[in-house]
Amino acid sequence: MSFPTTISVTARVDMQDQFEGFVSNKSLPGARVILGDQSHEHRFTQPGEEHRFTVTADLERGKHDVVLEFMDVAEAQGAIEVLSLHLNGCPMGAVIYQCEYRPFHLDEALQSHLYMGWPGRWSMTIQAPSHENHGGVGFG
Amino acid sequence: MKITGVLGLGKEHTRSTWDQHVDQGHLREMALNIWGEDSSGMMTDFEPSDSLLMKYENNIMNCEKALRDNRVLDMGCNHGLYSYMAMRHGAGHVVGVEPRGLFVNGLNTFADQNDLPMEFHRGYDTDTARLVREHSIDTVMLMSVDDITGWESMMYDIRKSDVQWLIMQVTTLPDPWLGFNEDIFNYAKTGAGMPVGFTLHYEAHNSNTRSGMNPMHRDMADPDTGYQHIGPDGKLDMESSHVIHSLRSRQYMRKFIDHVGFTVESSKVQETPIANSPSRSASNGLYQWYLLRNKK
Repeated sequence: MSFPTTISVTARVDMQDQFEGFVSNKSLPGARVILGDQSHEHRFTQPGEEHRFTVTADLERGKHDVVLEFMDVAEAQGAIEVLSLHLNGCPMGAVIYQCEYRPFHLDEALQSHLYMGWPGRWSMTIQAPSHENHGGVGFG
Repeated sequence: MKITGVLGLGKEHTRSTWDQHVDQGHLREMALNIWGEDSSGMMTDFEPSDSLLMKYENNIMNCEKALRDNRVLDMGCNHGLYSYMAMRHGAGHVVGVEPRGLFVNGLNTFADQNDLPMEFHRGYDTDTARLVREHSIDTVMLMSVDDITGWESMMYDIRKSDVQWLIMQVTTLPDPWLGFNEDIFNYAKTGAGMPVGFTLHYEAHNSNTRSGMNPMHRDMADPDTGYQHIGPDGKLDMESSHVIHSLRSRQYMRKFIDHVGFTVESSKVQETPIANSPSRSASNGLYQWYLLRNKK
């Protein structure tokens, strides 16, 4: 049996100080959010832009990763900061700190990082069905 | 064949009663009004978990005589499911109280759209006395609010009111968890007497869905989600986020109920832990249910 699960990740692009020459050559990044076999891509078009990535996937009972990753590996990109996560519409608050961030150029995982200064992959684990496994989600 | 397990009446009977009383369309609509379109997938083929059915059986099914035709106050109503089920089991009118606007606003819209005898208000445990008076309440439901609120104060307020019934779901610690050492006995000899139970206090991060109850930083809670310590930059302040919550022993809980003067109509301790429940109390088998009369 599978469980339709919707996650929404809200993220903001940070081009840092646009008046600083050393960042002026950075490009606006694109990112994709992946859940199960579904994904949502978005390319940011202006500094400070916030975007809510929403993905619905049919998940088997058990653990699954929510992933936000840069679409390009080149380092000269703006940073992306994860602001919030909604699981089936329920705001998850500080749970987003139970995450790991793997910059593409580093062979290590950084725990509890929401700010991705380098292109990389951010992920956290959820468990389906969410209303049986996550406090505050749905009619649990 | 009767299936027995975590549910005292048998899972089949409880599930059958649930099915007879719940309107799946209503549940989808409640979720939609509270959590928005993102909840649609979750509610497509919603199945109540064992944990949910256990709470339903012990707070609603087993307490129908305290609900039917009565005006019910559900303090800390959360997503309003049990307020709704109280109404479906015959409550004449239900008032749900909850600090988080996310739930209060969504549930009021749902109740209005369906012309249901329910209303929801933003409020706290400290509003109990006023609420029972203003809404002419017959029955109060206190489900899992004992560890995060001034539980004793609420009990005094309810006892002194005209409320007839009190339905409680509490987390109680088995008395053998703590033994008394020689110092306790020596102190008792001085005239203090022996303790009638204990309360354990836990420090924790104040960063979960119940954070808005913390009296210390209530004014800093997000009025919609209840999450606290959201700084001007919109980020959670993880360093400052702490709360003390308290769990009481079974003996103390019973002693306090007797001390205040309620009559115990029925009481039941959770028989079996429920694996994989998001509720720590349920997964450790620590729930206890009381149905109390407030006889004068």
